[in-house]
Amino acid sequence: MLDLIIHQRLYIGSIALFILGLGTLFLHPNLIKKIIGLNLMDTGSFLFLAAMGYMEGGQAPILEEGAEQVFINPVPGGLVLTGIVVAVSSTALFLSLTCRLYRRYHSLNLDDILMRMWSGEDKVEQEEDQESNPVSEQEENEEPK
Amino acid sequence: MLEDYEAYLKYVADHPKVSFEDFRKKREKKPRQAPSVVEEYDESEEDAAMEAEWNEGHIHRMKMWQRSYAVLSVLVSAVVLVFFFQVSIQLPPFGDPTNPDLNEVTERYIEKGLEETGATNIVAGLILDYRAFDTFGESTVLFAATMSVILLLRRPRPVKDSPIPRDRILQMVGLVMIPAVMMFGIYVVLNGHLSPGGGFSGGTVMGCGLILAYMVMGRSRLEHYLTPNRLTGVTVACLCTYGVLKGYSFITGANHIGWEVPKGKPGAIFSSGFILPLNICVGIIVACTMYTFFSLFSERED
Amino acid sequence: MSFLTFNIPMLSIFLSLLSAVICPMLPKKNQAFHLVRIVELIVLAMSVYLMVQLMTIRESFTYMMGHFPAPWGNELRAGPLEALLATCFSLVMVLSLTGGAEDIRRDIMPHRQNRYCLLMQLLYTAVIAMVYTNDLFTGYVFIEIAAITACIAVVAKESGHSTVAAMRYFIFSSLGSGLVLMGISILYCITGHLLMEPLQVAIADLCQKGLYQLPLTASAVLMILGLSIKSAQFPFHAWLPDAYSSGTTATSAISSGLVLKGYMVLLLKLILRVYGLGTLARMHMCNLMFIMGLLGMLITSVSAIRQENVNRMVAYSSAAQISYIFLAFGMGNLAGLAAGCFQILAHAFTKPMIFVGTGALIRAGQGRSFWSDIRGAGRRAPLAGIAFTVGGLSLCGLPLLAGFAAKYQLGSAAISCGWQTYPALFGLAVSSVLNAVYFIPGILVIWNRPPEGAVFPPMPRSSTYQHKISVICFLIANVFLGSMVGTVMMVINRGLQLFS
Repeated sequence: MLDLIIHQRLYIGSIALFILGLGTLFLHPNLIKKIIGLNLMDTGSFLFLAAMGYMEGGQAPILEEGAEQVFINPVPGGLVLTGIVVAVSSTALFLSLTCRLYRRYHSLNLDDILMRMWSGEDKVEQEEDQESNPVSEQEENEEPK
Repeated sequence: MLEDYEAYLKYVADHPKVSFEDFRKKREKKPRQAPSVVEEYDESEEDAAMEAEWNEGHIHRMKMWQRSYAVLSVLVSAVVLVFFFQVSIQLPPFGDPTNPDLNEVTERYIEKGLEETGATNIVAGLILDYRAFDTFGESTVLFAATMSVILLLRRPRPVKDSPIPRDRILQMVGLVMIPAVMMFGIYVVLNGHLSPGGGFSGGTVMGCGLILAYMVMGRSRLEHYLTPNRLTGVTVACLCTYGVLKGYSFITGANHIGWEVPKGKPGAIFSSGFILPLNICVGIIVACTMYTFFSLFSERED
Repeated sequence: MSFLTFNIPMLSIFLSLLSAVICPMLPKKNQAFHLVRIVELIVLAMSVYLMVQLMTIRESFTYMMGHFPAPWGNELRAGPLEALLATCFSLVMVLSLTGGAEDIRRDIMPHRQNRYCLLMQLLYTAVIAMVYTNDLFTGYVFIEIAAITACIAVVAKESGHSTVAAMRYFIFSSLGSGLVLMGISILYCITGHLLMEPLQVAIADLCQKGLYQLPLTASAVLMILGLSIKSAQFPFHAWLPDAYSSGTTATSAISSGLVLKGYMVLLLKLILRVYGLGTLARMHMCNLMFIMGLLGMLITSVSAIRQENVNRMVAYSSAAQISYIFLAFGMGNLAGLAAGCFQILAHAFTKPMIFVGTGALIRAGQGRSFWSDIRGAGRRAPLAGIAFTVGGLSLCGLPLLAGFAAKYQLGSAAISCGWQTYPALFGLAVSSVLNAVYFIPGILVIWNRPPEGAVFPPMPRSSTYQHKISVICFLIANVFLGSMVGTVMMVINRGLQLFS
């Protein structure tokens, strides 16, 4: 059993990472830590894919002249690449949503933000956010007479 | 309230694009005439009572949820952990050459990859030829993310310029580093089909070069060349080129028309058909995306 | 098969994708809006043509994306069912955008409207690609596109509520994507394939040899849970009401009509084309889906009754309707799957109609979405009131409307399955009553006399004709689905036969 665990350590580790990230993403109220959780979760999947593609004694699948080599499976590499791009995009979006929320509520704690939203405290902040209001933005000079 | 509506009616005749909400917000910011207190009071009180009741229920439910949630999630995570521990024990053994993922699919990628795609980097051939549709979708994800971040964070009016950094060390090191970083990025992109790298990694390096330039030269000097609209335009052009090239190869491939692009001599820079132009397109898209993300996020700070 | 027919799936995806990409370069904001809708109409026409062609020649085909056949390259697949779904989704998309045009103009800042159109078109592309794809990983990539764009479409309407709602939506959505990716990875690890047909062969082989059964179950659980989180199936529907009640009309209509359905189509492909009904039933996945659906349709309906806010009520009703699909898929027989497909179509035409109607009712009322604010709004905007009424009655199960037909199909599918028969019939009956409990008071409220001395904002004049066209088309489609059940079911059944 112990041998098996040691042999499969990368799979176990990657899945532990995945669940750690999943828990953080779901449980932690802090938005930045949620982002870290999201990244942990994605990293777990990538580690899983990379570990799966490995083969004993295999080389990176780049052909060189002459040498007869054993190559690892190239497919997980491609999948990880796609996954990384998707993770980058999600992280950027998550961060920009966090920026928007922070600008409005001056807090990074999602529970806090929800409380304040439901208790109607965000009304005041909305007025401060006039900068993004199309009326004051573009038609400042054309006041109704 | 009533006067607001009347004023809005007059106002909207000249400005048809302004919604009532916006108009009211604006008026509340700069009140022109004193609102009629009585009417306003009645309505808002009723509203507030209703809303407060509604919100209270929400807050109460949320507190209960939070309490049960923490316990429940830990339990669920523990169960899931044990389950997946079992799963990972039962997976095919790590690193074994007889694993099911090393089947005829992988074999053909490795053995015929060079012949069929012309790329010595098998992964490049895989993602840009065998499974090119995935990669097209992937570039679209990046594009969608860029557009979304722009939609969320860009201000309609440019903010005040951040001053050029005074840090001489950063400036001098930057001036030395930027050409080297950009050259390395371009090298990685152009050699994507021959050596490790490709559009995504090279594009990231180029994006880092652009970010460094932003930090060294300051925003306004860089934006003189790389205006936001130009960046979007370049990204759109690259994505369209990608779409047209791949559309050509999908249509000719699926209908068995032939007209294949010559593969060239393996190992030469101009080889492997569309992979080189596709790598360049992807590289430019990634570099623009990285730079756009950075500039939008740093804009927020001041 | 002619050259054009054969290339329609690929052309639909590429045309809509490229039209989305060039949106931000268009100089005027209305150009993007028109371009998007024109392209959708073209795709709609092509899909109808494809469906008719495939129904006459009675076959389906796969389309290589590149020069390499099945286990090596990406593939698309088109059959009558895919063509039917693409047709419906295109129609719903055009109608929702048209019906929500006035709200888009009001809710979204002018300089953002181009990008909003772009996101909507990307969303549409993603859903069409999910319909046609024959490759799990391509499915994952397009799930991501749909998740990102749907989430940002919510936040395009500037307010604190919508940002928070989008944040919650995005958290759930990332979680779902993570689970799906992990499921695909495990499945790839034990089979070595990503395309659906070789996967099916490999899984049948594994089951026969009795190898890797636990990882196989794990992959199925992960993917089904991931898709159910993304499609707001019962225990995971917490994000849905906020996201739908705070977005603009078109966003809510399209999210509930298209995005959730796109995930359901992918789930259908997983069930039929990857795992196979027998394997899933052996792993108790069918029971899992059935129980989730049964609980969901009761509990979310009860939640809907308590809502003070019309948009939130409609959103909870969406969650209940998604549960019907899960219930149908969980029955574990072909009739159930066919009923689930019909429910996808029926709900895709009903819920956007209700959202479009509600949007206009809120505008005609006092500008907010509480019941007290839209009291009597139906009298000021009769067509919107009719849309809400017909949609509500359809979901309650009034004969000759789409919702009734869907319930009838579900009921008759339930009769032929095992232990699920009585729970399913019970659930259907109770949830229909619950639907009536929350829709009928709403219908009464909107046709009621407006409160004394209420002040209403002026009605917009400019683009109401667009709204009228959209509502009338939705009504026609609804009655068509409700009265021509036989024809639609014939297409669905033929599609399903060719599916596996």
